[in-house]
Amino acid sequence: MEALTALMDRFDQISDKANVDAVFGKPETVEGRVLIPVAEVMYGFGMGGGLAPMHECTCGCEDNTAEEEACCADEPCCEDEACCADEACECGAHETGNGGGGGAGAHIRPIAYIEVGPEGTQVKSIVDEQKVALAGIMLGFWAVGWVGLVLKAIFSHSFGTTRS
Amino acid sequence: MKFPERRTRLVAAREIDVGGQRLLPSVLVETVAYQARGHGLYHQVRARPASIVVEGPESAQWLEIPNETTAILSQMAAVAAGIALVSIVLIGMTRYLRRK
Repeated sequence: MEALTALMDRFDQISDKANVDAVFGKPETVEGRVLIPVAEVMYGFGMGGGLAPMHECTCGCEDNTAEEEACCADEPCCEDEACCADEACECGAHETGNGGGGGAGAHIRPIAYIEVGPEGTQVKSIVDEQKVALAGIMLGFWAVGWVGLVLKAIFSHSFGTTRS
Repeated sequence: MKFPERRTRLVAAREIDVGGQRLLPSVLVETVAYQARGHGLYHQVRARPASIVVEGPESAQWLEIPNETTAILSQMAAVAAGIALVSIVLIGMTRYLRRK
């Protein structure tokens, strides 16, 4: 685990500079103007692992095999953790299981570009139209839903009065 | 329970020389790191451009780099919350008047 922490610290140091330089792209000259792309950079990784005993502390459980039951016949109930920690409890094969996994991902999204021209330096934003459109549709449904609830609350009362 | 460690730093990026101007960008780096008590960890880094200082031969100019998409989405979220609030008030008023 210490090695992992050291690796993470090291990675942190290296990634700071790498990320910062990735945010501002390489300047490109287009029709006499210099354009510098600007992006938001995100990345992450995670890993995990575990080591767990198998067939230990199973005596007293309902799904014990006959062999395990016989083994645990003169042992105290192993359902409690105190017994599980006890080395003397020898029900099961004392095998161990282990597993691990990890994953990583990165995401780079352009958010603006810097334009350097004869008029000076300007920052032009880039709008993620797909995201905005999706959010707009969701907002539309949200508004329609609430308006429907309000109308139902108002007119259900009116209809109720008409019927009576 | 151990909470993830969150750090935010403002880091100066590599300067860019363009057309006799010197651009000094800065980046906001957010790091979230979590190390579980067992054998697990995760690490997430988000680097967002913050601003840029344009140094010319005579003067310097500070330019903010806005995130328009986030601003629009925030406005939409505010509108959605407003719609919900107004609707709840209207429904409440309707029920109150019905009882009277």
